[in-house]
Amino acid sequence: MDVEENNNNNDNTIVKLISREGKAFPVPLAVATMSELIKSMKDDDEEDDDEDSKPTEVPLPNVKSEVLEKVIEFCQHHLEEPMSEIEKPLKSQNMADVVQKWYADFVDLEQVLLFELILAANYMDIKPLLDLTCATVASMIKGKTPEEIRATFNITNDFSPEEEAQVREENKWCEEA
Amino acid sequence: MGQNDKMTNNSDSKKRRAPLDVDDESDTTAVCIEASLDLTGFPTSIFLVNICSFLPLEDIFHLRLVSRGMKNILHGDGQDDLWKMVLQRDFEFSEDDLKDENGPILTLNEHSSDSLCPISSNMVVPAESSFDAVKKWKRASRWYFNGFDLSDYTLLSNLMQAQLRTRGKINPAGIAMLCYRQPHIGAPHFLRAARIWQSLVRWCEVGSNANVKDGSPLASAEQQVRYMIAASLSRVGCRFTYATPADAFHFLTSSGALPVQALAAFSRGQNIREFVETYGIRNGVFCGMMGGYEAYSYYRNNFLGFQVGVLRDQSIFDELEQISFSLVGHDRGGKGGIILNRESGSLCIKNVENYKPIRLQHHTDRKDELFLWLEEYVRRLTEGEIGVGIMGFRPNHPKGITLFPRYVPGTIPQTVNDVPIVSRQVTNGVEIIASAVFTPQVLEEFGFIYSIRVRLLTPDDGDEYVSPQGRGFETCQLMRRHWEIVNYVTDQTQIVDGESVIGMKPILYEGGYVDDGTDLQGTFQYQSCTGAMKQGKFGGYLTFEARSGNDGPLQFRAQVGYFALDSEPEFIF
Repeated sequence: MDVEENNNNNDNTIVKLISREGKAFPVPLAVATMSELIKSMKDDDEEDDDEDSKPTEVPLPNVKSEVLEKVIEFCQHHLEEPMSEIEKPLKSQNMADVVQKWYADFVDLEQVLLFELILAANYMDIKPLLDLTCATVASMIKGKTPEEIRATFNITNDFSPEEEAQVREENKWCEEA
Repeated sequence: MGQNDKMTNNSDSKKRRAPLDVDDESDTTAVCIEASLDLTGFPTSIFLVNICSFLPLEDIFHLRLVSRGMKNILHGDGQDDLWKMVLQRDFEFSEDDLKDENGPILTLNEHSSDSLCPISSNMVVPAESSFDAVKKWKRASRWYFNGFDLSDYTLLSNLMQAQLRTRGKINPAGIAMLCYRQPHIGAPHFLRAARIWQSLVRWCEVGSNANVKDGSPLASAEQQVRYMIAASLSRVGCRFTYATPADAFHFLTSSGALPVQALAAFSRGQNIREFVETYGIRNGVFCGMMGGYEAYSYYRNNFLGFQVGVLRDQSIFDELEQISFSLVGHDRGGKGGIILNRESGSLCIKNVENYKPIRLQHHTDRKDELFLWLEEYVRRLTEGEIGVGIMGFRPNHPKGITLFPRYVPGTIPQTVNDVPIVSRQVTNGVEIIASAVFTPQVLEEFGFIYSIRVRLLTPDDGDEYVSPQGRGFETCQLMRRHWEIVNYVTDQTQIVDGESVIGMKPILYEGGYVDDGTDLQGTFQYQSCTGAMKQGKFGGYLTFEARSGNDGPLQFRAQVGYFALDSEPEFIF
């Protein structure tokens, strides 16, 4: 309810988010200000007291169009159905067990896009999106052996056999009763 | 182990392909680190703060094994944020505990196969690093929760989810059960328990001689009592135990049970039966760790010992109580026990005869009463406010820790309504120290047992000493007592005036006394009871008779300063 009222207040306010490629994404202010970065920029603007009806443009040179689209999709949905807090540490490998279904489906993405979303969420300072994407990466690690983690993320094992044995020994030490 | 970390940190300079057989498709992944984003390519802060905080500890340990780059990220320069996060999230350390200015992070000395850490005077030790602390607490958790049957996990998990929904709160170990394959222990609780044991063992060791062995002549009663108490302590701890998932659930969800779980992990305390089997019965020593007192036929001597599993002790509990109480102490006379309500954390003493449990502490909403109670006891013991004494009135009577507040030279005793809990007066070279304990456990009605300690000062006492010439006598005899017992509740003062004390008229000399023709060393002391009363104070004087040369008997009154009678002490022992 509160959200709608806010929307009404700022009914006409549209912000144009400009991606790295220069593409403009017009969004309602309430959606844009999910980003603490944009919010702080808008707060600075207000001091100028510019009543120009031209929509404000926010350049986001670090964010690709493809990624920005997903960010906006997230923010729009978040206003309708706020994401529930994700428990730390994760109690399940399955995102649907730790967060609402829409969000679990939302992060069912290619790894590259997921990683880029993390960077965008970090840059634009959108905490729930950062939580969601980071938890998703964590869910891909949880419950896996080191070998499986390497396979999932395409990581090369660059330990020398002696180094690896040492780490393994150290890990094992903690598990001895 | 810290050395290994350093080795790998330096490895950048000799960057090389992994010597392990990396298969064909690795051509692209090898350059991946520089070229495009991969898991190890994130800004370190995102990786450590955001991603790892969602990972159970077991998985963070798996990550360390993934690659050198990954391990370097987890242990990078000055990177102990991750491990501090783990210490807070999984082991319940507070932010303050982990601040550098508050000293090193603490952990336990290496555990033994029998207990979480062998009880000794050196149980709590600083960790080398945050990571070292994580490793050691993880290992300790592993020991404590070993054998926890994970097939019970679903049932437990369901029970706990239900508890979370209805009450909104379960204890941290319970939450851990929901999230981890292996639960972790709450380090601060176990540190607190370890410090209590450590202090008690240190107290036992103070002044004890390395040559003292069982059966050899002991230097003093003090040493003997401390030695016997130390010997009576079980060196075997207790892992997390439960009979059924419902029991486990009960323990994990009753935060009042945490202190007893933590204490018992190091030692099951005193077990009088085992002790007697090993050492035989020694009437000369009352080795109850929690001390006691005696007057007439009333006596109490409390052992500290834990039964943390589901209780089967019918003599103290009825069936209903067995479910929710733990026994943490028992009386030498078998008349009762100190019991802990695992739900509320409240501590009571229960006397089998008069049945009604008596709260031992006036904190009503604390889950850690057992800790508070023991910590205060340890403080009194180590600061000399209580200590080894005679459980009776003759030097050959049993010794043990007596609970009457002592006079600690150079300190000002605590007061209740402006009256000190222990008084000391010196008249004509006669020192009288007096104090009382509240004894709801042994007397039919609430009342006090008081202790009067009388001696003639000797040259060793320094400035206060008065020579026989100065005081006018060599020896003096206690003839009469005069007591004023002020009852604040009725606002009345009871005057007691009579001959002798408990039938005795000892003759004091410097360094000892003669009672009924028997020459005895040390301080003359005796105990007696007040009538039923609550708040008040007790004082008066003892009348002495002395002879000097051919003159007639000299009479004088030695003052007994008022001491408090407090029926609502913060702690009852």
